[in-house]
Amino acid sequence: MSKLFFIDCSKAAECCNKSQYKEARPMEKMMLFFHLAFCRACRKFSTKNSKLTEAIQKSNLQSCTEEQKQAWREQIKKEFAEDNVQ
Amino acid sequence: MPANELDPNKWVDKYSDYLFNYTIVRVNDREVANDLISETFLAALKSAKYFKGEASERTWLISILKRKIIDYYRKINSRKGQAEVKINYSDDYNDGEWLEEQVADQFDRTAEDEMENNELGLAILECLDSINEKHAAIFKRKTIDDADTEAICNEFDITPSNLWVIIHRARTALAACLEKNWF
Repeated sequence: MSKLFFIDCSKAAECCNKSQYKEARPMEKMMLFFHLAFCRACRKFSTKNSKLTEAIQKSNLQSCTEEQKQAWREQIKKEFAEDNVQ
Repeated sequence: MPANELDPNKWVDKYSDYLFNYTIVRVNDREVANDLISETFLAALKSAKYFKGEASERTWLISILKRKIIDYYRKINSRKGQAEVKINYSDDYNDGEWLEEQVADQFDRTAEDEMENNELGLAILECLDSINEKHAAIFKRKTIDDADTEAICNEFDITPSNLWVIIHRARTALAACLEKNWF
């Protein structure tokens, strides 16, 4: 039973990261909860990690589409080749 | 030898997300942003011979992009300016009614907030530059594109536990970098 609940810090970090993406299973959440109760270092990490998630959400970062990126790559390649010929 | 050299073949992979996020908050239209970035790349290629290597590639590209954004606004302003009639309704009679509208709304800080959040976004992308390229790409797919764990694993040919280790390293490095440069 105790093995079920007591996890090491690296497993706790994994659970913490998963929960930032809402991918932690209920069991993982529980194990993390118990671990955080007695591990100060992981509590600190968990707070920082949540703060980072908050910052990322606030920043509203967007990425351009892969098609657009490919179009730019080709455009640059073409222009670059033409410039080198001249 | 200059401190920084240009490598146009890597511009898209290294800077397109940064340029895009810089532009989108300023023009608020994906199509326009994409066009402006295309023009920036072309202009940069044409003036590559004038690059002295004193600034970083990204700073140099941003300086070109800034000009393109200013030109874009000049162009649309000169078009609409000709037909614009400005109405000024601050006359002596309606004091009470318009006065309220003239007072700045202290809760309306959306534009400023948006700019600050955009700068935070750019700081995040700058920090991602300093970590392993593949790790940064995986982190972006997972965090910015909100892609599925399984899809990313297939895309990069890694196992889910590899993915979580990579995400952990990227997040730790990013948190440290932001702590130093932002918070």
